[in-house]
Amino acid sequence: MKLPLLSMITFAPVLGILVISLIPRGKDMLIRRVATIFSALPFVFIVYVFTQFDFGAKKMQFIERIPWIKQVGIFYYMGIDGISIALLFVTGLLSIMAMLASWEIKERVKEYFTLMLFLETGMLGVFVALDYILFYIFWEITLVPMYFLIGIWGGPRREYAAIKFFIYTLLGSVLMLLAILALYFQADINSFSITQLWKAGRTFALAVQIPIFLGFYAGFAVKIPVFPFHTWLPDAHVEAPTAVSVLLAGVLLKLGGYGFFRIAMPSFPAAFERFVPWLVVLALINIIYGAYVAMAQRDLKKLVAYSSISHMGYILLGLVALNEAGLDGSMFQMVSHGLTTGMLFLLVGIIYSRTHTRLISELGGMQGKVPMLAGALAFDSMASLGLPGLSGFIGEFLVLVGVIMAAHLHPVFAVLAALNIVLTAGYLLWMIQRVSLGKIGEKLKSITDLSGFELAYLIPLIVLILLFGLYPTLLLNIFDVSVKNILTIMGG
Amino acid sequence: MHLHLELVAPEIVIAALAIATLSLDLIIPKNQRAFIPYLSILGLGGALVISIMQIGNWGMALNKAFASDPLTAFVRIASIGLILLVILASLRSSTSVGREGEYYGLLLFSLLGALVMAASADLITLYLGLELSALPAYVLVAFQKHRLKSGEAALKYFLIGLFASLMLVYGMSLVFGFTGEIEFKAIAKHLKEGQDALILAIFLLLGGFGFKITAFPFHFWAPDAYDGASAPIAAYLAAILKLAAFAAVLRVFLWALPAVQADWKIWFAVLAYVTMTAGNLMALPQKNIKRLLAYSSISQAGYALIGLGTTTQLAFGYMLFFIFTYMIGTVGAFLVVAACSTRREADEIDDYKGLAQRNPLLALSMLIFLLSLIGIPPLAGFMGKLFLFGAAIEGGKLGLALAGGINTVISMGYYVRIMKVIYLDKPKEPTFPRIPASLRWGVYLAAFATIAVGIFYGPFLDLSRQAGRLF
Repeated sequence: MKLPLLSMITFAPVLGILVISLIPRGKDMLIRRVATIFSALPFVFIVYVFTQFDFGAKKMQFIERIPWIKQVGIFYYMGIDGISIALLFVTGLLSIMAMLASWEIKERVKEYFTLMLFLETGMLGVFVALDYILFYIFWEITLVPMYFLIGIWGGPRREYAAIKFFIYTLLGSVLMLLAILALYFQADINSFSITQLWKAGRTFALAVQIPIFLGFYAGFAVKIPVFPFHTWLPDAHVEAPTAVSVLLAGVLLKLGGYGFFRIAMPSFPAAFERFVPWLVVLALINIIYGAYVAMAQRDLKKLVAYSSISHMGYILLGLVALNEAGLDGSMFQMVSHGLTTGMLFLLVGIIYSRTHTRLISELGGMQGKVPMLAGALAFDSMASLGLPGLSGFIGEFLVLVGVIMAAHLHPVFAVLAALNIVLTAGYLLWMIQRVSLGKIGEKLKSITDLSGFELAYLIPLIVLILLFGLYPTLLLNIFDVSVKNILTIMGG
Repeated sequence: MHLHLELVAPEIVIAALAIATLSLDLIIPKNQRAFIPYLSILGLGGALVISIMQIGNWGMALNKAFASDPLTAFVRIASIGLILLVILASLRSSTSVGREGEYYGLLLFSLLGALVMAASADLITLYLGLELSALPAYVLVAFQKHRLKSGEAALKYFLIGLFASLMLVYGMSLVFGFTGEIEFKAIAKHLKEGQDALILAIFLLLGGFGFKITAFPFHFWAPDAYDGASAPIAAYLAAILKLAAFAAVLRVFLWALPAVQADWKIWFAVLAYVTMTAGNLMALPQKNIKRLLAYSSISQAGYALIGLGTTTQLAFGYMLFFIFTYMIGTVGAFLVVAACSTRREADEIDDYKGLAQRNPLLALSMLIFLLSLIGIPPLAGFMGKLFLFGAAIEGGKLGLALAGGINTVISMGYYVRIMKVIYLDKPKEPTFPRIPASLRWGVYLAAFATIAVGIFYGPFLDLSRQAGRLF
């Protein structure tokens, strides 16, 4: 009998919730340990799946398909391809880092870790679900823990940020749900299977494809977030506790990009192509506007949040290139952005927990005081701004190549996106200059350098950023076949 | 005469139980009546088992006055299942203690009326059921004699209910006058299009039923009545009586008046739009939790009306399923309200501050009910909305589905506000008073049902689809 590995990956954190519920309130240390162990279990399983995975196959693998509500064609249907497994890897890894970074939480510990584990299940589930209803369930259950994690353990304006996050994403997902239903009834094959509906969606007339595509677009664009739906992101990031920011930037934003790969593009290629001119402009607005706003930030965390908006623009830009280089670049950027921005948020959290400030003007001279922390920040900023040799470069480079190669896009878009790298370098280097160099800031008097515990969860990220930067084929090989497959499906 | 009493077995059991309960009140001394509710639970459990066993055994009973069909079965199972929770919540509550005979007797009579109304196949049976369900309900609202609000609410509810009944009777008499028939399906045969005065009958029926299902603008009594009643009774009004009224609407409009469908179809769509929107907008500023839940139940009735507005068999079926999921969430929420007001009345939303720290399990249950009412998967309410909106799309009513979706987002505003107060705010007092075990387990049972129905909804969906195909 084959093990239901994908279910094990998805529901291991839920098992952790059950165990935690048995631990009495107040035994905080035990709760932290148990939660961390259970949050790491999915990663262990994912690594095992990696060893068994056939990276040359186009088909979905590790399929689990059990009838759920047969009358209406709902299945408990899970399966993964190269795209899912790459994102599962990031999710599993960042979940552990986020758990470790959460050990500093002192208030309502039991509830906190319960919600974190619940969030992990939701995120993992989205990447393995192949039935629309199952997909939507996982998609939506990430909302509730996020609301509470921001609302209870967040900063001063936490309630506003939490409700804003909830409203935006719920609006997006309700429209997506209506699109799912429209797709289901329009296809009329009594199936909610994502892969089966690929074929059906393509056959719809353009006039039918467009409204359904727009419904999905609303759901995905809010998550990415694409301008003008992005305003919830800076608020949520600034107020969220560190670990939640890490998962928000590292994984939750990727759900939107993943939605394009898994659903919007293969199901509605004609509608997608129809909107390419719009999407390319929106992607560039994200990239350039995000960078400019990041430059103007005085709060370190807000700066990273806006840089996320800018970087996520590249993902959308790669998609609209509609060729292998572009899509590969998008995927690469998703993984790389998860690692680099996840790490940036970890570092900002570390700085904040020591200095109780995130204002750039109150920091300064970290290089002399805390060389390791400053070094990690500098390294990660370099990776984020796309220094060759680090992972950020490859993703953006491939996206640009994709745009240049795309016959339907004017090369000027690539030029604009490329010029933006200068802006990115501008705000990140300027930030480094103000934070790490110069006079030692007021609040830095008693700052201490990275502890062994913190190094333990930062080093794996540093290694991966270097590894994927120097040897990108390693990562590209994981999803390249699946990306090609998506393109073949889109081509008919 | 074709009585077919076996098809009416659950109703007979409930009728016997109601009479027995009321009579025991006369014989048993006041301090020994505590067993009465347990007797009711036992009897209702029996009725529930019979109802489930009778699935598939369809037919007309009581000389074609009573239809035992999938709709009847659906209403029976949903209503009896949920009234058990209402009874669990009422055990040991100060409202019913010492007056068990009256309280449970009235509740059972009202339930009997609701079931008869939902199963009626002619106008007379319908009206009998309607009145039998309503009259005890007026008394139940007034049951908290020491509360000023209770009497006031009961009087309002009574007068408005009376008005609604009169509208219905007048409408029915017009229908009877035109056709000379009381049986729904016979009426349909004699009904011809183009009779102008029938429009009046349709409007009277729409208005009368509008009151019963709290459709805007006939909704205004609900917040007062729910606020004045004890929380378990409010749950009963919001859930069981509403389901029965929806079932009756299906029977009257689809069985008796299909010939003039063009005249009433559009109005259900209009009612759906305005009811869900108005209910949600009015719920937003509420400060009292019972009034908030009342407006929530109005808006949920608006979603349910999408089913009637779509007017396809699939939509009717999924509407019933949606109402069932709504009932679980609403009854659960009212049970939590009952639990929070056991010691002293604490119905202001501010009284729920920090409930998560005072009583985590109660808070978690409330969270589950609220999320289900919003429609967050994988809870029951999500599945309800999923299929209902799906049926609207299938029936080509994109506007209704979209309005339902947007209203879902609006409704989040007030549901999340309660969640915020419970989880994010600091408690005023650290401890929570002890609540009766039966009430506590009633809440947990409802929370469990909310999750279980969200995952294993197949049998309910089947039955509701069968019910939808009757029309």
